[in-house]
Amino acid sequence: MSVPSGHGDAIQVGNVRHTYDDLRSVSASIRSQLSVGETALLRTDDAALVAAAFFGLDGWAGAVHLLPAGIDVDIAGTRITWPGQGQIQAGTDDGGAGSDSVTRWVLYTSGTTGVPKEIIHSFESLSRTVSRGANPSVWGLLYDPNRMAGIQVVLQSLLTGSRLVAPPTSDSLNDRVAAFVAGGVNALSATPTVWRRILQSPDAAELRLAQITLGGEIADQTVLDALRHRFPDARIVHVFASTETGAAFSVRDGRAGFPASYLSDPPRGIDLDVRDGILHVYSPGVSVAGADGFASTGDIVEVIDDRVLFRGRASGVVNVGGANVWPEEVEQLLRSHPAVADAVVTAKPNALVGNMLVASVVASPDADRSGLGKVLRAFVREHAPSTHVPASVKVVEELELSGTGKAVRA
Amino acid sequence: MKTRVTIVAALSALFEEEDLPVPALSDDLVLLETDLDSLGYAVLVTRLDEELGFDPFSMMEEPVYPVTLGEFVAVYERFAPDDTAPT
Repeated sequence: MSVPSGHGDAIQVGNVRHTYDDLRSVSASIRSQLSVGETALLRTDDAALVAAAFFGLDGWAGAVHLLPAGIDVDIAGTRITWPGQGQIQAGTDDGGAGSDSVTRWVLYTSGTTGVPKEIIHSFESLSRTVSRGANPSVWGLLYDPNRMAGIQVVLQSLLTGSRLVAPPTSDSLNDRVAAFVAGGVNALSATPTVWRRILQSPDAAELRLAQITLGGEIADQTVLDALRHRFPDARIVHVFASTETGAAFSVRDGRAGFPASYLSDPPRGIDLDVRDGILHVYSPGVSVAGADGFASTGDIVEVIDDRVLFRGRASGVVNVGGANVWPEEVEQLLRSHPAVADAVVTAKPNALVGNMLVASVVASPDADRSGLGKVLRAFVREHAPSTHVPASVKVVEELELSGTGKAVRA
Repeated sequence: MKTRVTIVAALSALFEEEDLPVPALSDDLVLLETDLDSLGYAVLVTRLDEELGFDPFSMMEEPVYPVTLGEFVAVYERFAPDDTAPT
């Protein structure tokens, strides 16, 4: 795999611009840092280095471990760094000719237990969701370039000859949105939680988005409608991806969930089935698949009329006074209230009824915060059984985000 | 004393919030005779955990079921981590 044949600027990290020619030189230099079949370690949040490593090391290294900040694993290998000035070879990328081994790309997730879990990919599996026919655009990067969601954006941008604006992940969201405005970004991918924050960002009105992608969490109708309202001309796509099964498909009609017709007419050839209320996909290759090849995604769904809607994770179900409650369902309800910009609901063990829910909400800018907790509890009671009503509703400035841009439910 | 004040305040706030008549919150008030159901008391215990920093019902080895408000308060006073309890 060599650097795609783009021209001009490829990646802008902070104030530094790298052209496609730069990336070609750097990827060749990175390749010279190790011999064929060796193991490489990549610990960086620099999207340009990740990109150069992809194109320099695929088909050359035996394995490349992408290590996000905060994840510690003990693996022997050569640590890949940005080559010094003198080491960069001028534009002579031969694509690593002489080696046709398949490089293992090893990603890490924090896992629910906090123990890093490795996920092995090939370049092919990482780039499977890239729509190669797409026109060049200007992508913004909001994800860690070491993680699956960030890699998807980096590859989507580079494989279509687009330009990628990648502000440091340590910058505040407002600063990153300002960098996207200044850089002319017109395509952006983020979790629904991050999208809700973008909608609150003062610079968001200046964004000229043509492509909006949501993934990683349930995209509810409230956030889809808010994005449609703010960016009336953008194509809005929400992606369903299951790490357990490797399946992924997208929905483009701006409505939450996916069409029930997908159950009989599979999207992109991915056979779906709802069993005991849990979405299953036909994925015979994976270890969790049953005898008939269908594997559980762990996502609770409900079929309502012509739509399949996501309710939450099967593993996240909470027993409140004998009733099963999905915190995500209560979050969706809270977000549908005009005074709420975002919400996260968690469970607290309780000796009387098993568990109780507690909510943290971010108020909308013009919402009346006094007595908001009481108003919202009454709102939930009006629309859901009393077991769904959070014991307390705390108004917070912002929600805590994980390394993957999801609201932390802890 | 502080524990009692916090409990009584949280309890009357809850009655008001649930649009229930607020009974006389004296020590001999029988909890089951109020209009608050078991979920309501679970709400109270969760809120008190947030305010006082502990939940005595999750700390006790043998379950205790306080009958009156006075007994309920006594449970909290018994398990209160001295003066170090966050306020």
